[in-house]
Amino acid sequence: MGIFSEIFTFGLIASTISLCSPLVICSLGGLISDKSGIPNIALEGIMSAGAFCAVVFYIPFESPWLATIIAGLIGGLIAFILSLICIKGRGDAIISGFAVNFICWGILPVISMQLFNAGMTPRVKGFSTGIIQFIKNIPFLGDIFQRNTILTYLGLIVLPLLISILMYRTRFGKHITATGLDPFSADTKGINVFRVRYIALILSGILAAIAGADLSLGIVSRWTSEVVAGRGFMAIAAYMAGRRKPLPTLGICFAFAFLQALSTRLQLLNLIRSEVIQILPYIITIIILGIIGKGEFTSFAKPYYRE
Amino acid sequence: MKVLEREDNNFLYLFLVLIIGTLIGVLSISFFGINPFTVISIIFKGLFSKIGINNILVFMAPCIMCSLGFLVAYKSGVFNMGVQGQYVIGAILTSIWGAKVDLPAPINIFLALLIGAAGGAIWTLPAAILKSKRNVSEIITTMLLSFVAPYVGLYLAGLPEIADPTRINVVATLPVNSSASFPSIFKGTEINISLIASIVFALIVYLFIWKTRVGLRARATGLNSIAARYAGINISKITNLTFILSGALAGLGGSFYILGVSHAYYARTFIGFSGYGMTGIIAAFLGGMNPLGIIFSSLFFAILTTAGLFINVNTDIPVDYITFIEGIILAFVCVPWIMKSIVKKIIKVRG
Repeated sequence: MGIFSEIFTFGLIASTISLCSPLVICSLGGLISDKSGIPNIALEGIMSAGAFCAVVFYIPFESPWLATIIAGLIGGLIAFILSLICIKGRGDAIISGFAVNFICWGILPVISMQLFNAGMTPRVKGFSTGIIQFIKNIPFLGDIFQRNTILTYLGLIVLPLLISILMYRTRFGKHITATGLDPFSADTKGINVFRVRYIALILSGILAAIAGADLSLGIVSRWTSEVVAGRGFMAIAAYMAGRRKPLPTLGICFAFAFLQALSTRLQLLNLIRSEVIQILPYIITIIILGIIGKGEFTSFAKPYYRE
Repeated sequence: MKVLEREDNNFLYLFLVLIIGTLIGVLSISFFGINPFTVISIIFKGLFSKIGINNILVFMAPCIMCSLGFLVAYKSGVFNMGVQGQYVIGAILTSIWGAKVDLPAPINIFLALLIGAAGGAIWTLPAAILKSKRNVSEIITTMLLSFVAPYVGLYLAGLPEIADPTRINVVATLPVNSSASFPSIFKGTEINISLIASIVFALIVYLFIWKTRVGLRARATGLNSIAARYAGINISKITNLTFILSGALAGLGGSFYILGVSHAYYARTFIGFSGYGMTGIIAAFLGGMNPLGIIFSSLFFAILTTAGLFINVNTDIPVDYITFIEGIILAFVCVPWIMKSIVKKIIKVRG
């Protein structure tokens, strides 16, 4: 039992919570754009770009919030370029998403090399942790919540609520769903399909980049080319397994984040070779997708155009 | 321009895409304070040297194989985005076999290739099963599996029986026995039989897809899976078959890389997405989803990779820059009508 008490500590719960928020933010962004009929495969690349830009803009301004906002805007810009290719250009959403991924994967190490003369950024302080001072003294809660930042709470509590309200309680949310289900009918009904898809895709880009900023400024404190490590694709898997509903997606993200935290924890213990443990989140993600099943993209990324 | 209107005659666009992509790539290097003309002179000086031509012809074979792997699956409507993962698994298994087993040369090479192909095929199985049984998108599963593959490679290459003890700072397997390495065709170069083999494979894939019954069924499934099902084609059987074949071809690409280029598995070079698996996907798109086109697009990407190495040596631009150019090219491939309208405008201005 000694090993179990070493693995399952309050630190594990704490890091699950902090690792969960970038996944949730990214996953909910992907959910919006998938609902509108254009799955955003470029989440991975945009997340990496957001993480990078957040660190780059944090260094001169010393303000994590400003850096996060700038990163979000850059993510929106990248998603706008993607939407030009796959909405205006009528390209296949999957292929154009991968093109944007390739562009991000390729250009970020080059810029990093120019700015910092290395393949990674220097360490930064980022978001301050332990924002609620009085909670530190409470025995268990103190251990769990001391490492989290405000962005963690925004991502885990406020954002799922906002997205739920947007998707189920507003006109625009219903337009998104209608556009994704059948663009032709939606267009006949008077919904501007193109505008809805542009907005949904750009929103997903902004959220993915903020997720990246959360990852680099809130958790890892630096950017390397491996910092995102498939979280963008895991976010897609999460909303697929969550049946494209915000709250089940939140639950699935918690499961994935727990696996990531567990894998980090097991690596620290040095029981077996770290490579065996590092593959754990990916393998279990695939297994969860297999158990829940029906992980397909809506309307399979067919470009819409008027006759 | 009647030639430009025809849908099947899209090689002209793809060639334009290639040129524009490369131009954007080379010119945007000036953002990093490097004169593009010095880059061009570095590239040309490098490419026309003996080592440049050697590298181009050596790099072509793995690229062709990965590209063919993607093509076979794509024709039946399967997006095998994890070619990189299958390539890595093929490479590690081949290098282990080549380092550990010493048999007479032809048999040993054959077995080493076979185990690489089997490794690549096995690596597609989870994705293929989940796609046919549980309807899970293969794009996500293969992509996640290709994040797993480098760790598997790192683990196997680090095992004490396999790791090369003379290398201190890098994880690498023992070098492949000479009985399993490809012999070079021309003396004094590394150009080997894998180049010819990959071109033969391109021919075989062409015959398989366009001249056999299974190939016809695969194409029918890719064009319209519902119609294919009504025509009595067992869709999940066909997609599983092409999926596994795709993995086997990508695994062979990894074997070709080990036996023909590096002769040992250096774990560091297989991490990330600058490998031939990812390049192969773009080569398949740039080749117009045609084995003949793939040979030429792979030649182009081999040139690009070699040029990237020369740029990396002479300036401080990392080789990842090539991935950026590949992304630009793929983005243009998505929207062929942009090229069409540009060409039409140019013709209008002239005439």
